[in-house]
Amino acid sequence: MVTELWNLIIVNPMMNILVFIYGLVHNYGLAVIVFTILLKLVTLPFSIQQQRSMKAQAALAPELQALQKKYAKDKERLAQEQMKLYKEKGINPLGGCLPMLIPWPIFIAFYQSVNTVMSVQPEQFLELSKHLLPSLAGLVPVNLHFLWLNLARPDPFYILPALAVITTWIQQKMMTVTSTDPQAQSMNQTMGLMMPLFMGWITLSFASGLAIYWVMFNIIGIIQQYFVTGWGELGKMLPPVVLKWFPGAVPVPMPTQAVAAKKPAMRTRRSAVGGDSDSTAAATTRRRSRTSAAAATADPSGDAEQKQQMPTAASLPPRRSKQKKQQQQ
Amino acid sequence: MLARVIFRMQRRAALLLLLLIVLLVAACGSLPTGGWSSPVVVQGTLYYGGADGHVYALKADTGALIWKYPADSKSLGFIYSTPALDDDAVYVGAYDQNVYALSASSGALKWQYATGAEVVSSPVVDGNTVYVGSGNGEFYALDMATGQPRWHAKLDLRIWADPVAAGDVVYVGSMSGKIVALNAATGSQIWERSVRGAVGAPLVLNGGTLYAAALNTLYALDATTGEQKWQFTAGNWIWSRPVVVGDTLYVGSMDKKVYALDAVSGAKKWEVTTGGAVRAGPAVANNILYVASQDFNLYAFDASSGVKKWEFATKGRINATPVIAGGTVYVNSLDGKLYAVDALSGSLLWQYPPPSQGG
Repeated sequence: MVTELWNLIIVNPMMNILVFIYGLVHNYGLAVIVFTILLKLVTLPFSIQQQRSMKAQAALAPELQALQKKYAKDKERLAQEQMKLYKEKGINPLGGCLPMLIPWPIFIAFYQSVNTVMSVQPEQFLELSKHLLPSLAGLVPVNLHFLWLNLARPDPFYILPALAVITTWIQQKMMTVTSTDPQAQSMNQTMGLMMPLFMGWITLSFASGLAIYWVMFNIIGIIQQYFVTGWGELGKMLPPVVLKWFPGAVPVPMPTQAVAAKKPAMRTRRSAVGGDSDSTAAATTRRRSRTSAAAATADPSGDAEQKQQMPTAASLPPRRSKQKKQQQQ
Repeated sequence: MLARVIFRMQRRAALLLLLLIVLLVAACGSLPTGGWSSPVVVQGTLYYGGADGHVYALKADTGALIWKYPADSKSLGFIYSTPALDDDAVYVGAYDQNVYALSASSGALKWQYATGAEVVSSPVVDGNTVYVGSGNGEFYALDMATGQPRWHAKLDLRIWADPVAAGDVVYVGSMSGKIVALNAATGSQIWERSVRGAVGAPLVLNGGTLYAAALNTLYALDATTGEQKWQFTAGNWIWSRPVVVGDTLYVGSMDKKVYALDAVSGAKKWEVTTGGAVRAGPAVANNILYVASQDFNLYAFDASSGVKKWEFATKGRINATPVIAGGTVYVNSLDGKLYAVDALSGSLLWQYPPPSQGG
């Protein structure tokens, strides 16, 4: 039942679209590339959300660390304060997870579609009779020759596996945001090594039609990452001349950054009417904290450690309220 | 508590992704089990290609093993070919790209010929030549004694359909939708016809009419000229070998049905429905129609009316055409067993491997 639903809702439409595209371009390798681009466009909102969320969470790292030090012995309180901080900043802690997981069913369905349409075995070809629209059935079997490849077999020259390793590594590096948390650093390091090697191994063993999909998936992801969040950790490894010509994207402003940019004057007036210098100082500190967090987020090199040195409330002269000014006059 | 769980989830999301990839590789990366070699019974011996990649010779009355090839655990890959026999030789193609000639009495290898691509089509013996198609679009005429090609012809795509040979003409269908008639002695083309869709079902020649199927359509062509006489369209693909008995043609379809058609006009007489797609060809004996389905069952129907007489359940899909000999129906199931079933009652006579051998 589950398999039938899965096929009906996801796999069958994908397979038919893939064969339809093949009918237009008359080349299965090109059809895989075109369909990969289309799939990436469909999953773009999830990818952007995920990248934004990861960036924002990384920007909070210093404050999270401070909380961890403060509540090291009270895990329950620590969790509460962390949640409170996330809420204040308007960040969903699951924002990085769920968008990362949503494209995966699409990837799995696409894998099944590409594999089945290639129909290396007679049973696989017969299966197409249960998935393809009658108007498209005349297009199969597809021609499996693309450039130097037989798309049903692994790349005999290992070019695609090498590209898979390189592009996966590049994308991992761009996605990684520097963190002072040792656990996060360790995780980043592990994933940065394991994922490229793992994908290289897969593309070495599997049909090159699938390898083309993965490499294209990565390339488009790299371009997208560049325009949404910039070079990430990779920026530190690039020569200055590259960064000069390709500085990385100006990221889309975060909701917290936008709020801080619009309403600083209002907060100042409110705190002045309140008349209490302590609450004034606290409000100023909170405002300046948000501004520094937003500034760190805005850093195109993605370096959350590069905090701008903002003056604290204690170092500024106290602000005078309107009433006080009038009295003095 | 919930907050802690949420924070831990972020760190484990990466590991979860990796797990998903592993599951994907495990679940989707492997090829399905395959092969649809039909049994052949000659002089009390049954020959067929097993799902384990071996060619078997069994005693047709008891199922006792006479020989298997290869004798060791090495496999020839999936065997889609139905063996062809002549004198003391069994000819069969395999997914390992070879065509084999084996001694019918001992299973010893006489010769093998490497075609360069997977062999799905069954070899056909006519005169002193073995005709067989290959997955690279090449069609071969091999010398029966030596296995060396007398000639070969190139079609543009894979040849999976069983060819048919009669006298000085051999007919071949390809996955590109071409049906060609070739001179059996030289391989030169006599005529060619293009149809919509891949020709994967075995070709059948009966009384000057060539029957070939592509996608949902069964074509009846004049064997001499290739001109179409009639066509019949089913609900889904036809990959089953048609069988003609008298003036009735029986053919199965992936729409789960078996059709009885007028062999001359193509008009439908009746149809029966099974529980699964019908890739196997029907078999007819003593006015009983035997149908094997992907719903794991072997059915017996009245060949005149389509009324069901009995059904026999195996434990796997059945894609191979059943064969009838001496009051017994033999069927090769993808559960890895060959079943011998009483043709009248549907009761099991024996199976290979027997239960005592883990069958």
